[in-house]
Amino acid sequence: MTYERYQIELGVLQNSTIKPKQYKFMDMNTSHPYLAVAIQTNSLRCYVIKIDLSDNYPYNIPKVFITSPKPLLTRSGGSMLGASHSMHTLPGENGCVRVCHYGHEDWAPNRITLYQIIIKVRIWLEMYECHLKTGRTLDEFLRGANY
Amino acid sequence: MESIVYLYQDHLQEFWNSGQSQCFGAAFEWKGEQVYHVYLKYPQVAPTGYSMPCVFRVVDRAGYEQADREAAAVYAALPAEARRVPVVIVCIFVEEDNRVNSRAFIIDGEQQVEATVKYVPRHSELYTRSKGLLEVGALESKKVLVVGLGSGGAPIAVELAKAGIGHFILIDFDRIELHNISRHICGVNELGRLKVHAVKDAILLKNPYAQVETLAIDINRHLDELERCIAESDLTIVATDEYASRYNINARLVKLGKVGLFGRAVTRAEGGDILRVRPGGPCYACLTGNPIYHQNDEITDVRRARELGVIPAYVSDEDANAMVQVGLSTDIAPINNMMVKLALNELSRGIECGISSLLEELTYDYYIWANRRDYQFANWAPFNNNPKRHLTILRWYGVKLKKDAECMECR
Repeated sequence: MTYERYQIELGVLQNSTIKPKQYKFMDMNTSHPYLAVAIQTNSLRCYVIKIDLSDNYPYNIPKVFITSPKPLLTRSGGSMLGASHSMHTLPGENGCVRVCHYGHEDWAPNRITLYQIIIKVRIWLEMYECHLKTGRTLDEFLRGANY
Repeated sequence: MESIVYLYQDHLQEFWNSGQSQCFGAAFEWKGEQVYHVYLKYPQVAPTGYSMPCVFRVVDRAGYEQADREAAAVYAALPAEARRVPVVIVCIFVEEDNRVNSRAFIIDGEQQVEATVKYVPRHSELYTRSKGLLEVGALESKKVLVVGLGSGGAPIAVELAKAGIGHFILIDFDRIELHNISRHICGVNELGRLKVHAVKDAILLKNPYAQVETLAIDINRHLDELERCIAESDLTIVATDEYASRYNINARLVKLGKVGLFGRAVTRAEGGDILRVRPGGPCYACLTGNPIYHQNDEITDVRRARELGVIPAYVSDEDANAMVQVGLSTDIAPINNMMVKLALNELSRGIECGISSLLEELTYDYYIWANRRDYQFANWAPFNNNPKRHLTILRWYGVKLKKDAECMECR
């Protein structure tokens, strides 16, 4: 990520509903920079997500992982580390569940910022908690929703 | 059947300048066709045909007039091993005004046949037929970067070479594979070759004097190299098959104020589009954020699409294979053709030539073409019944694209 882009992302986050203590850009001068964000859901549960900025962000879609709790499990205690269309996940890494957020058809690097990704993951987490309560898949909740 | 020997003028000139009276070369014959290409040094592209020995001999006027005897004498003096196959003997006589005359003979044992000599001209004469239409001298100094050498980039590069572009940088890390062959300019005899090398050879076959730099790299992992190439080039042809590389190129075109042409075919080549990026105008990211743009790129390779995430990991192999929907070469040709026209237009900008009038007409930034009324073009009007002149197939439509005021790339 270029310095100019970093400034834009920072500006968007500073003007957003996300408080400065909730996020931190990490290892920015290394080959594996990432953004760590703490997210609290409506049920007041806390999650930490990692947005991987190492692979040519914003021109490639960044990988997003749930690093805490680790690993996330399904309602029945099953693994969510595999790719699942119905649960909106991609293959996890290092025991962390990877969230499918923007697809190739929706990705627009000049319009989508990290803030929008965070919002999408927040929605994913809310749906995940609905799944824990009901056992229904995330896709059932998200189907028809156009975020 | 008449035998024909092709001699390369610059090879002859070098031989004459060396002051030697005789030297060996190599000839290549298309068996049964009696056509021979004769070389005194390694050509830039591997020759085609079956090889045979060749001898060049400088003779005086009398020797030239009796060149058949001279050739027979040269042949007789050759070692027996060299005479196991037919030999081409070329007798050269240079007149006082430096005019070169050549007579060539194919000798096979007792049989000696004189061939018609034809010359492959020197550099300056290759594009004489384009003179008047294109300013070939000016185009020769232009450098074009072509990123992606598939069924789009490869023919575009060759067409530009045919138009007289003298300098190229070719980038692609892929090799010629079986599934490419039906749509690619390269054939089965080039399976496994790096596309950059195969296309370089195809360019040199059309313009042996072109300067071609090749880079078999993934530009998404070599961004500094990409930037250097864009900075050095007068025009960038973007013919890659995925978004990240297009966005990377776009960012550098915007940064460096350079001109680029983005071309692609959409799913199953039911159509395609071209974006021209010029300094101050809309950029590629402005386009992809615009509702007019359809994101459905053609998927030609499951493995690559998987790597890029275009086909997500949760899609089964069976479904993924069903997503590979390649179009016909003939459906991609119109897009390539328009890309070449726009490229020549851009490269001729400011130069008075026969295609200058096109500059007044090809003023749009975005062009759309439909081959069939399928998928995204399903609602277009029929070609044969369109009294109200609605959008229809097999025609180019130009779109005046506005810059996206909120575009984070070019605002």
